[in-house]
Amino acid sequence: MYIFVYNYDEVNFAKKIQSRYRYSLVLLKQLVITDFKLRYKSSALGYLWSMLKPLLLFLTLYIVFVKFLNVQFAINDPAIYLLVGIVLWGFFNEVTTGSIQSIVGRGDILRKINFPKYIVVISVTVSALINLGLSLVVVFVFMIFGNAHPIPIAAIAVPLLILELFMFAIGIGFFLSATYVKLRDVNYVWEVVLQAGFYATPIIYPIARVAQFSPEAAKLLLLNPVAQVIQDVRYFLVDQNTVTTSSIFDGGYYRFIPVLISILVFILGALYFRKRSSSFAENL
Amino acid sequence: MKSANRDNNIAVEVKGVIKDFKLPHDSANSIKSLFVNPFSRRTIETQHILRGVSFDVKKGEFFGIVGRNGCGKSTLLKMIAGIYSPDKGSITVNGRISPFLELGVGFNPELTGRENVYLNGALLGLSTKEVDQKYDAIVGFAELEAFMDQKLNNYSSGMQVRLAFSVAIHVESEILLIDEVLAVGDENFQRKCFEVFESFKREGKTIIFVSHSMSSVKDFCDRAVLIDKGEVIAFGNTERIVDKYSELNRGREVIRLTAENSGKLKAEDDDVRSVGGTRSVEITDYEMYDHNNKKTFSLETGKKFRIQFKAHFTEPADNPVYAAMFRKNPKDNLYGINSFFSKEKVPSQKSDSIASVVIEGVMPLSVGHYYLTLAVADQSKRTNHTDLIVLNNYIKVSVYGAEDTWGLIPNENRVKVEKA
Repeated sequence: MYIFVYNYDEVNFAKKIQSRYRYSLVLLKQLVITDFKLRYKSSALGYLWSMLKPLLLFLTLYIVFVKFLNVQFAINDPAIYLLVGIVLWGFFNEVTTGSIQSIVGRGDILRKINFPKYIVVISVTVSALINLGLSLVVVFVFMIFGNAHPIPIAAIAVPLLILELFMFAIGIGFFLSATYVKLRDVNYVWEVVLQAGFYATPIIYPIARVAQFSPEAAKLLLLNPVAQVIQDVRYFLVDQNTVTTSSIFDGGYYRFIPVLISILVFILGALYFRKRSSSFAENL
Repeated sequence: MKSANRDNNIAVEVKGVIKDFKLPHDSANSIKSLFVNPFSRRTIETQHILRGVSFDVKKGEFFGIVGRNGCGKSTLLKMIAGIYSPDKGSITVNGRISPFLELGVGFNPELTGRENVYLNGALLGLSTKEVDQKYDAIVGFAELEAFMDQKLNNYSSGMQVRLAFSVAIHVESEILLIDEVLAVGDENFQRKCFEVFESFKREGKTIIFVSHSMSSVKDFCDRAVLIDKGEVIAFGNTERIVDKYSELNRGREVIRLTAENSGKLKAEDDDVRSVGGTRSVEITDYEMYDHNNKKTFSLETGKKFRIQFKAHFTEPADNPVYAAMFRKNPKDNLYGINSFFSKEKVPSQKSDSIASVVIEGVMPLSVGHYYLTLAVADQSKRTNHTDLIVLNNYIKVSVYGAEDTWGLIPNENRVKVEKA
């Protein structure tokens, strides 16, 4: 004979969930605002840096790779092509590296107050999303004056692709930030991974060159969700001759692998984070 | 039937909470240690912070948690706030609890007073709109109208505390947790704090208050719990708690009472405790171990346990008998273990000798609290029986486990019902 005793009746329970959700939103908003205020405190250009940073990096790479080394991207506007890659990589980079230390960085709050921990990681990614938005404004300005060939479906496709990249990045972010609480090596390991990843992703070189050399290697590189998203966004916004995951696999089932990886990484990362989050306060 | 557990008057119910901290020795926190010593497991020291703590806080009560440094009271408060989670046991909170323990959580010196109010408010669950509405009241109470657009850097520590306290009291929560805030601020501010607490009390809010200061506990708390070495020593009447606390500080041995809760048992246990017998034997160093060989007074139903004590004989005893008895009421014998009935060979004792006694048993009783009586008798023949010492209902033991009955004996319930 078992008798279940509920501490809350259903109305209360619904209310509790609702208030928890509301609390998360209120907190998220304030954390993002604070982050932004603190980041550009006593800086003359302030928010402009969010646009200037990718722009300056772009200029450097553009001069080196397009002008000096004359890398043949074989597309109509190598400048925008390059910029799109840099901006998206920058977003991935910012979300993951920003997440790693986010939980430990908020240790003072985590030890003293009970709140949904994932908000901390999300707040980092929201800041990155805002930066991405500002960078994309720069991209659009280039597109107006440059020689890009966007297709109309891009209006739907690009946000979806960014969502995919976001899920992949935050999944990794959840995993890294939770692991970092106990194992500080994660930081260094991830630095190396990112550096290798930058060159393993077709950002500053055309994937077509890799394909000439070894089609298998090109296929492998395009299974990386970041590479797939970058190439797809280039396809929709800049040039329809871009080699994408879909085109390199001739539309086979393999083209779905990066999307599946992203979803899987997101789910596993979130589950791992949730499992570990109850002990964050004790381990900080 | 089960209404006692769903009591609407209970704000916080702490039930059999156990918390251990695992402290790895010389943890390098790095992969290197995995390479250097991949096979030798690092020694991990387990610290038992709380060993089965139970009590309850009624709604509208000003409740104190007292104890010496390192007794586990802050850990307990953190668990009530939901910052830590218990390893075993449960904490039930009825009502909106303030999620913080300290004032000014998240305060950033680089931000202005105004910005910090919004940030701190958000951490305590106030939306921007709500802070907008309460902003003037918050600033007014803190008496900082002229400083709100300055960086917090430029505030004195007293000003910061005033601001933090002001935000905290403008959060509408039904249960407040306060950890030693009253130690800060000048006299004027402290008086103001207490005025606020008084008004909270009138509004029927529940306040849980952790403090070293016995005078503020005495002045404000309706009831309190005294915790030492992770166990509840006393629970209930504030005056009694304060007395026990000072006894504890004087280093006197205090009989450990564990896990009194739910008002099932009165907190004033002194009246059920008595010492009987000829007193030619003294019982000391009594300890209890659970099935994990952990020193505790909380046992699990159906699991082995062990009682140890030393008996100092001042007079010789030819055929001593050692006994332990569990009781629910001070008089009804429920479960007894006895060296006579267990037919153990027990050595006789000379005068001025010490017997080291180990009593083992399996806990047959169900979840609840029981009194444990320890006794030594002399029984040369069956008829000639002299109690040498009886510590009647001296130790309080709590039993935990699956709550599958409301009786005293756990069992596999089966209830068949057919329509007539």
